[in-house]
Amino acid sequence: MPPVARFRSVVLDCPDPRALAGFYAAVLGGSLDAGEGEEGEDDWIVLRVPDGPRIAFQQVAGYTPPEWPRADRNPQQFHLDLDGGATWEEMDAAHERVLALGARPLDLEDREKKDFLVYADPAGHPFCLCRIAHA
Amino acid sequence: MALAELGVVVLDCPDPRALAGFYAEVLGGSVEGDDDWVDLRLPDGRSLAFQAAPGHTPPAWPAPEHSQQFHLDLTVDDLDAAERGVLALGAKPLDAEDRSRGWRVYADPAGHPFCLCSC
Repeated sequence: MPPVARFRSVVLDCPDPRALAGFYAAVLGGSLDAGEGEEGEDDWIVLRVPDGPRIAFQQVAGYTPPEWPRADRNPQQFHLDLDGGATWEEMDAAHERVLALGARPLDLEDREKKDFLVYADPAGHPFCLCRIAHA
Repeated sequence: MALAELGVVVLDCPDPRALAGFYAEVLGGSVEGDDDWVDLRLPDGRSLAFQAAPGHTPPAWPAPEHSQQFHLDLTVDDLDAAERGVLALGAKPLDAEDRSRGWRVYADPAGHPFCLCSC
């Protein structure tokens, strides 16, 4: 039996879709589309990542960012894993650049053991930079 | 120049294997991993991952003070047929009554909102 559906987009809630889409465009590259079919709309912005899925940003009034790490109230619910490079030199460069773009460190400890670093994006969503050995 | 590549979207949930099984039925693909972290490799080469979060509290939707934080948009050709499929797999309707729209909203078995879109 064929699958029920095809994966289309991950949609992130946030207070300012254009601002958060701009952050991820600076991190991942890609192009921004304003609300499909709605000229000048700022409440839904789509980031088309090269060779990746669509990441959409949806405006939520009174948005409350996730609290991390905690599971009992307004938990992270999800996070994005980003390939930050194959070496720690590349990871350190990526670290400096995400901080310059407005990311906030959440967990930078035990990096040699864990091979990933945890940050909050400017709207508070956790994401990881992961050291990935490239083939 | 981009500084990173998008790897995978990771969903918190109480039972990664169970929730990965739901999405594997909906989207196809193969499931691998242990009880704390399960990867679902989709037919188009993308992946979703599922991470155990003890004491996980599902999103409340719609409720801005405890927002859904994110949702997945899933593309389908036939909304009615896809709705029957996801309901049979344990999804719950959240906003699916308006049949004039090209999308309907459901919660997956762990409570994460997702949309079926025919657009």
